[in-house]
Amino acid sequence: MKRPWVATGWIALLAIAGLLPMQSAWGHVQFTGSDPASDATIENSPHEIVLTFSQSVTPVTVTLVGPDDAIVETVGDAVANGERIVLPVTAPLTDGTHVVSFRVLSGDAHPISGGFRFTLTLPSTLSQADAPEAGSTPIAKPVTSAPSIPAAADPMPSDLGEKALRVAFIATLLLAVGLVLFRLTIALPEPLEAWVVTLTRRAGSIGLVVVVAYFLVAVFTVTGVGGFRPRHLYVVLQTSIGMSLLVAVLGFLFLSMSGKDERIASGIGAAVLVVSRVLTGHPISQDPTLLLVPAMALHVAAAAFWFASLWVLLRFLRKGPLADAPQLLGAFAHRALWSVGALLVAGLVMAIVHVNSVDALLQSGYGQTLLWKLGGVAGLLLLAAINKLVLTPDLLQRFEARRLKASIRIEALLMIVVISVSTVLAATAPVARAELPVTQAESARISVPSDTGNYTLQVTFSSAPYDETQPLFAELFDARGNPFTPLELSMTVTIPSRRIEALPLNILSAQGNHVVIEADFPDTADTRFAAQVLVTEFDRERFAFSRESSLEQ
Amino acid sequence: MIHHRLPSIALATLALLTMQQAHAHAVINEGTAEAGAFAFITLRITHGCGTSPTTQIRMKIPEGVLRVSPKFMAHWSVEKRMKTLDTPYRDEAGNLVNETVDEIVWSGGSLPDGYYGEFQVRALMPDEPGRMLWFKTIQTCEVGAIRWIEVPAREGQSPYDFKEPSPFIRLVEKPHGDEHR
Repeated sequence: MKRPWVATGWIALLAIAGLLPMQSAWGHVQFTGSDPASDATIENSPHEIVLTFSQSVTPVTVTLVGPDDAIVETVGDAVANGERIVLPVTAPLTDGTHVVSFRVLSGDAHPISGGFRFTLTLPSTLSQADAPEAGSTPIAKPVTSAPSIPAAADPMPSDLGEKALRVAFIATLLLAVGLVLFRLTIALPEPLEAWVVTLTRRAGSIGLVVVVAYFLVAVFTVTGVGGFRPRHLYVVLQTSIGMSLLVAVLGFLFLSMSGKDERIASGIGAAVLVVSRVLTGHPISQDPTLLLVPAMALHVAAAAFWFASLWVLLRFLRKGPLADAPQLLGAFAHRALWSVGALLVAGLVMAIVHVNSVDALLQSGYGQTLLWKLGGVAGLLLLAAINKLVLTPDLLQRFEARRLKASIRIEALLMIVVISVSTVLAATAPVARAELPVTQAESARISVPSDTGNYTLQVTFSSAPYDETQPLFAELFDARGNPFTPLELSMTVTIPSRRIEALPLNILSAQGNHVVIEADFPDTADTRFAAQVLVTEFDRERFAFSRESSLEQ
Repeated sequence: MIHHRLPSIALATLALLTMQQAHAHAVINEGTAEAGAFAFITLRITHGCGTSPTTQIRMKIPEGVLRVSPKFMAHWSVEKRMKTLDTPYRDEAGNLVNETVDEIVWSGGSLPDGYYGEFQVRALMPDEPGRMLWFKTIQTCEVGAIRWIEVPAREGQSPYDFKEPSPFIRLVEKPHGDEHR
């Protein structure tokens, strides 16, 4: 108390350290490198092309385009392994410049696309056929002639809405959780408690609306407005943001219905919301989960308490009864100290775990976000210190609340700005959108024998890479190769990486042996198809295939 | 007050949705039959299509099973649908037989869900010990139908890998000295 500014300085420093890890939770996926490297010149045809990202990703499309603008390999062969996508190269590549383009989805359902080039210069002594045996480690050396194509977040028409809703979602969530925590930990005077209960319920209802809106916008961000299919709702649910929103619905539902005496129900609601916020971040997918998940939960709860307390105090200062001020402010100061402590400890734990990635974050445009946020937090702590050390004594001694009110208003505003800035800036694309050569997609056909071998199904994909707006065609032939009209045909798609299992596809039309199937599913590396065909009343034939087999021919 | 129960109602609904339905198959009671001998095979239907009562059973007679006679049933009409044999045979009276039962259709009855029904057939089994005979069956109900027609197609596949496997029996070696029955 004697040297308050020194103490405030320490607290500010700790807070800055504590807030570092929140970056990785709010940051978006970045394309960090590849093998062959961007702009490299290599002498041997590679066996595979590896793309590395800052977070684990789900490939939507990855395409390798050869020197003659023909598609060489595509997502059908790409395997996502956490942060790495491996695109196997099945046939030796030809001399010349190859372009790899990708569109991937991060865990928070954000698509980014981009690409890079590399040049293959086969030594003249080696024929193409010998190339793959010559070794799988390509020698990379930079060339200046081929400019690299940077990765870029997709500019979506719904981008601004998505950011606004993300801010609204997190702010509502923090407010709702904080209000519950505040009421459960601090005894409030009667009128103030009633107000807090009402505001909690209202925050729950608003939260529900925001969650639904955010979910819809997330769906459009993934699919683009034109390519929307109802089934994409289900796809988005598979991402961490989808899961988080689903859980948040439950939490907000609890809060929107909890009354004055239902402390347990509101406690559950708040806990569920904290879980939801933890799901949005990355502790779930990172080791050590046992440490990161509780740390993140504590971090969220403490931040929520801080955020909500501002609104409650403001209301208290406006409506009173100010006679309760010494008691209430005393209790609050005590809890606030604990919550700031928890915020810092949890933040430090996460910072230590994440320390390796801080460099990368600073290089990749998140540095800006970080600075903004740290500036905001420093300001917040400064205001908090002024409130506590200068303005609160003012209030208690002279019942002079005007300046404290103004200060808390500024603090609340600043907190919203901090939330907005970190949410919006983290989502901002650091570089301009890449210009990639557009290659005319070609159709791909695949012939699959049935389990018994008595029938053949010929499947035609409209294009490669696959275009979701175009249907699939399936034609059935008997053992002698004659067209055969099935009694029934059904097809399902399984995408393990999206946890989609045996999703039935709609039959658009069927005429003779020719069946048109709607293909409104996301195309990923691990998409597998299964077809069941009733050939007679008593005989059903099964076909299993994946699209990559179609590209081998 | 009902509002306060909504979260628990939502949770209960979720729990119900994820519950798996128990399923019993259509099977042949006997399991095995002697190769080259007459056998009684009993198709057992243990449930309807969901709760809808069973109104028709169609059973496909596998290749090589001859001299098929379904059991007379009072409340069902039993129809034998025939097919022409590629290789006619002579019966005990010396008559040339060039057609045999392809499919048996039991119809006109109503077997409610919650009751089991048995549909019996007597037939001469082919003399191929070790062979699996698949009696593919279509169960038609007032609402819906179940095709018990799935047969393992690959090595290592079991009939129980399928949701709706075909009823089957396995032919076993005939004991010596038991030529006629």
